Amino acid sequence: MSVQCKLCPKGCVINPGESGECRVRVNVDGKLLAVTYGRPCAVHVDPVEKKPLFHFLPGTGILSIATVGCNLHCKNCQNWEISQANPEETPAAELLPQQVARLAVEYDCRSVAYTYTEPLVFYEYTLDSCRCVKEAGLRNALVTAGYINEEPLRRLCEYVDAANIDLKALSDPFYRDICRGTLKPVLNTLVVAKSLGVEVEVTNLVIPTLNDSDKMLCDLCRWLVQHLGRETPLHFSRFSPQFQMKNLPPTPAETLDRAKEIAQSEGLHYVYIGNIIRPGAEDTFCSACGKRLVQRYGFQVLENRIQSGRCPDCDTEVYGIWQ
Amino acid sequence: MAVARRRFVGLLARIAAVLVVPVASLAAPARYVEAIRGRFDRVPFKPLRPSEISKPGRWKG
Repeated sequence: MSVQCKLCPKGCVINPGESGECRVRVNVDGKLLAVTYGRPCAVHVDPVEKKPLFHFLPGTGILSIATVGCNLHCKNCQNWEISQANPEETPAAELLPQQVARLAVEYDCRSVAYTYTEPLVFYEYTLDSCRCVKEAGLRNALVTAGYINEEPLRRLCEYVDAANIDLKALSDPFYRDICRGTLKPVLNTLVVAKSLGVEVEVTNLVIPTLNDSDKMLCDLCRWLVQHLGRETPLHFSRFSPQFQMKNLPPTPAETLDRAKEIAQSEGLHYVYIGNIIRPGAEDTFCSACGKRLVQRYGFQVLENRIQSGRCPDCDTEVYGIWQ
Repeated sequence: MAVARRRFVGLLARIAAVLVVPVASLAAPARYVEAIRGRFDRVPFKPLRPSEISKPGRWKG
């Protein structure tokens, strides 16, 4: 008997022995099985800045786990070797949710990230791990493209503290042509996650000729201001030729600078440039007095002046989770 | 003639009986919000090495 997966907007109808588009949700004898449950292909302690999460426990380590699989198929995927891999062909470790929490404590991490591929397709593993991590007194963070239905998202957000959500472009044709997805569910995820109290940061990978026009950047920033608020951190990330998009050059630094200027002129308070070393481009400044609050270089925090979530000079609140 | 017609109708009935289950299952798939928390024996096993865990991953994000 075929089954229909209702986790994400794709709604795959899966015949016995086959998987959904994500490759990891399989119809086994008429039952939908999350085959990578407890089987991560990557387990590492990263600096939280690598996610990137700049307004979430800066300077700390974050246990980062991923299984194979993704429900999008971006031509420019930077982790395609695991996101577009078959579970039966990719080595994976055995790590149950209770062990995830124990490992995070053992490695002195204050949080766990579900990242690298798409944590929403290994949903049950993410959800159970989040519960165990919370019970251990630690925090959870998602790094995701946000392509999920609202009901499971709401259930997961009960346990999620922070999320870096990709907004690849404010363009449905872009999502259809480049990612084999659609825009609307991603926008819904951003709004719902923020409304449920998740500390939301947004990443936009700027790809030459595809989403780097002033209008596209301006539309994206305007939408963020209107629907998520000016305090939402936005990371413009540099594209590098990967996977099925080796025909385009890396994003010029000047394009990223222009994107940052546009975002700031639209009123966003915290705008960053990533995947490239630009002095000062990863620093956090107070939205009121303009003084530098956090100085970063690469994935390192050189100085953090934020005190109890506030600017030490003018006492303005700084959006984020700081301790 | 009547015998041939009965045989033909019988054949049609047998074909319909064979097809009804798969066609019905295609038309109305079982719906799941979540998958069973199961694991796949065919996933190759890889031990966790502490030296690898403690290093930042090679993957983006």
